[in-house]
Amino acid sequence: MKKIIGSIIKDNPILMMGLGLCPSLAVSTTVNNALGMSAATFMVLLGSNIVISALRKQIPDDIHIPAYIVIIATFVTLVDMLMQAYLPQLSKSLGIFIPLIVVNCIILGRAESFASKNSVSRSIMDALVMGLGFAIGLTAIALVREVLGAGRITLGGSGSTIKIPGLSSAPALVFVFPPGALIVLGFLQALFRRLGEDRPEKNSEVKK
Amino acid sequence: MNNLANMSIRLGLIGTAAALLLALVNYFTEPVIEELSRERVQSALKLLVGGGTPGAKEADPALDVSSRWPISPGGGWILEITAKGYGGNMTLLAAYHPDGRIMSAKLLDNNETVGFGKKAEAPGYMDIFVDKGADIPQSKDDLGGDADTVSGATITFNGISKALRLGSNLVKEWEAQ
Repeated sequence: MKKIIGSIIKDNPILMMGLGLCPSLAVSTTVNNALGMSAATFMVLLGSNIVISALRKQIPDDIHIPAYIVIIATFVTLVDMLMQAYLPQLSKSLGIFIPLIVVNCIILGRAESFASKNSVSRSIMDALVMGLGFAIGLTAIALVREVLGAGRITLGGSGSTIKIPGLSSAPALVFVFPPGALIVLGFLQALFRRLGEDRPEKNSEVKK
Repeated sequence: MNNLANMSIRLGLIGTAAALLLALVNYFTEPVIEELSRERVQSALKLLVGGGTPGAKEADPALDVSSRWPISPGGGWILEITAKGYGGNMTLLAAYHPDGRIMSAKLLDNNETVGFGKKAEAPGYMDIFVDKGADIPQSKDDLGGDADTVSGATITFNGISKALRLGSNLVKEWEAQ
């Protein structure tokens, strides 16, 4: 468990590896959108990791990229259709960024570097860790941006909100715009890097 | 040659399996999506005309206007207009008085940016155009104190404004005939 939590911090796709930044910065204006995007990305990552890992010995090296793209695009289209049918409000608010999960480098990156070289069970675990890391990173960015930029937190599909006293009447609008997203990303990256640092044992200094 | 055929067959099999899976999911989701879209248009129509009733739909009455419904009683029209936004085409539903003034409007399908152009879907956004006829705002300068409503989404605003002006002119033409 400790190892999994360590991996979520040290191998966090957004905050440590800098992967998937385009959709992350675009949809992280509300916590609601961030959670929806995280769930959609996780479903695609899980599905593509399982299929690519199961077929890894059947896919020749020469065609592995087109094969992976077909598999990833299939899962993205599937998630898109299901969201349009059963979560129309969320699908509307995420818009074009759902189909764009096809080109999210976290998905292709994990397919190429992990799922294509490991067993199905290990690939499922990788999808869980990466998906959770992506969700934590994205939600953290969205929480800071929504609180500071809009002075509220949107909850659930009903759109009910919690207003932050003092900020809701005079929010710092810069956090709604892309520069604000990059500023928040920078501070959160610094925080995660600090948390992910290997600290020397206290005793080792005494020994010296 | 054998290697090429082998690779083609494998890629073809993956593509076929993907197509079959998507066809199966589409079989179940397509009717639900169509029903949702129909319900959305119907509820938007009722919302737009307030106390009035939309009449029978007429398809393609003009360029960039895909449908129109007459409003009774009191006259006027509801138009489904295609507008150009930042993320491509947007679909607008707008109700007009017989003199071309905007009664109400609603943004339906669009691919505008979340947090920016998507603001045009929010309740109250279209208030900046309501009850305007010849003086439908064309730029941020025309909005005065309401300029903040469209900040960060100028292209979306311009597209909506242009489409609403087109609708207003068409309604005036039809009523004059």
